[in-house]
Amino acid sequence: MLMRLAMRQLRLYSEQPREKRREKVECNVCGGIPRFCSINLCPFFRKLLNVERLREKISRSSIYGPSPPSILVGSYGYPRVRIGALVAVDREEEVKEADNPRVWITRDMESLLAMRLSLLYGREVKPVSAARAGDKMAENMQELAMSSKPVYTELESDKRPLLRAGFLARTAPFGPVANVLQLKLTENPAVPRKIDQIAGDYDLRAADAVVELYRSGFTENEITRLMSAGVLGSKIERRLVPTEWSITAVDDILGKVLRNEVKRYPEMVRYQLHQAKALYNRVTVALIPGPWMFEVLEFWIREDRVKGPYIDAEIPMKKEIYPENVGGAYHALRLPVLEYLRGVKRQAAVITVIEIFPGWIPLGVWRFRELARRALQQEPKVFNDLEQLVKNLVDSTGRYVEKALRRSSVLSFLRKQSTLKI
Amino acid sequence: MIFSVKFPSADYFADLMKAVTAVVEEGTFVVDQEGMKLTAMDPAHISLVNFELTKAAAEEYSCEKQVELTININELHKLIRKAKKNEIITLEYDDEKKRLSVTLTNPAASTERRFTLNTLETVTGKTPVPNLSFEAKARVSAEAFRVAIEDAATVSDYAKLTIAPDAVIISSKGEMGSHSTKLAPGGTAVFEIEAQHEVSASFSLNYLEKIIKAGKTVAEESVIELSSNRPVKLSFPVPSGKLEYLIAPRIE
Repeated sequence: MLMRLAMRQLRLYSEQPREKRREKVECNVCGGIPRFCSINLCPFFRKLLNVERLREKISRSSIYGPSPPSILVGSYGYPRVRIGALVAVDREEEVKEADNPRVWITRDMESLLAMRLSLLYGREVKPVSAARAGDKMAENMQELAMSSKPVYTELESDKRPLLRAGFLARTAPFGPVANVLQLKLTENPAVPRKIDQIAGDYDLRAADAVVELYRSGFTENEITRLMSAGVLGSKIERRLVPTEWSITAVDDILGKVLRNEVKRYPEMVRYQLHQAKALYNRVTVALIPGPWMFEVLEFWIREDRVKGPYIDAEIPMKKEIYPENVGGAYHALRLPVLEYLRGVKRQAAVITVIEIFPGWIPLGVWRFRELARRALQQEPKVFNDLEQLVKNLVDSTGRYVEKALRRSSVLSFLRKQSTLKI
Repeated sequence: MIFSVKFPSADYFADLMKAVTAVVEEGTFVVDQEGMKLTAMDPAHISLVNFELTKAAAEEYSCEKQVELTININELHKLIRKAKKNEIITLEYDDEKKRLSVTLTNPAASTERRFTLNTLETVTGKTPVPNLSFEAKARVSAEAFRVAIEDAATVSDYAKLTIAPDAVIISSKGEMGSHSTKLAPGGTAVFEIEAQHEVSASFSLNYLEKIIKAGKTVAEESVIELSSNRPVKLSFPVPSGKLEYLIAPRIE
């Protein structure tokens, strides 16, 4: 019974079938189908990477290199999934940054991709219960995930790794893949005391562990890695969690905790507009005096048309449901907005517009989290009333936003809903 | 013990608490020699609940002096929601420990279940009830009203309530379509209408749905009081008590 409950909770964050659609990259070579995407064939990647050198580095069945650390748990075939570690086979000097999205936003697309595609994914199919079954590979992976510094890792494969690129909807991409028979750490991982303590605590529920780690200053990326590795929570909760699910689970758990706090603060007094752009993505956050509300309007800008808006919102009294139109990006955006509001001790009604421009390659939802953080760090444009703010929001985004705002439930709530205040 | 109250039906009391949580998670009860009261607004100040249970509803009632206690009503409801039909509920408040004790007794089986609940600090001041007068009033079947509200929710996020001299109309319009339910007197749906002319206002269905569902569990009848573009009052008759809600309108 408990087991089933834990399962259901996690499945809430699963990719399919709740997310209704997945945007494709418009690529002439592979047609935007990840399965057909090959580093070897892709002219884009060939320009980006030194393919010959990469090929040379993975010409043996035994691979040795530093892991940032980074692990990846797939979701395909759940509960029997691919699990493994990412190991840098090239650009080792950058390995520290290779799994830290907080610094990625400052880079350009080419160098970011080159860095990620130099990570080899050594993986094997395991049941998610391997997290607590004394499985050697899972145990090594867990040790790796707990490290705060890169760890040199050795992978033994039965054949030569394949040269390709792996793209998933929420996680960052990775490069060559190999089926591994063995995964060994060749040095001791540097495990922070707090992580060691929480991983050893079987009485602490996973959700509480996530919150405690966050309060101790660990980033959501580190927490996600620990959750995926299945080292958090009570015994029954310890299972390998697909990386894509744990990203959203962590964003959501932390968001809910912050939201409870933010809802107790007085309402914002000014109308603020924040914006940031990088890597062919733009995030615009409008903070409006009012009770806590949150809405995301997502637009995919193509050469010939605009797809969207995909809209999800939470407004007072509305039953909370999974944001199936926007998906994981919704939780990734809500977290930094709540962090900001907690910082200024205010609650607000929030409308977030995200625009994805041509040239974008799916690198994960972290970009929204980091772009929102950057936008909120900058000085906002300030207005005195709602209509001024709305006009400016429309002016500082694409024309399509004006029409889409008619479908905004937050805006409709703010404009039309009266209150009982005397 | 500042007060000690015994109600004969624990499950009904649990339903009443559930009804209050349709608007607020926590609230301040004012208990005095006459009974217990709670008035609270939701955090967005769009709806208000006005709840009262007089001592006539109690089997035993004693209260030394007026006291205010703020509790998490969701938590209280969690404790008592499994109350059986034949169980009796006793509420006692200890002023020193700031603790509410809740006892569920089943005389037939001779069992006693006891819970305590810590009270919270009172943060907000008194919630004033807006002084409103209404142009029209209708007494309808709570179930018929609930069905109409649910139908409306399938097409839109808000609905228009209309009281005409000859009917109560619930209608909604969405992007994809529209809905309208007409409840007329003479059947089992409408018991009484008092209206000189047609009056209507629009309300968020999130609020209407939550409140009508809550009210329906404690009463079979719902009283709708309405003025054009003013808050609506929904009351559910409770023996020796009061359960009323106000919802602020959407101004179209």
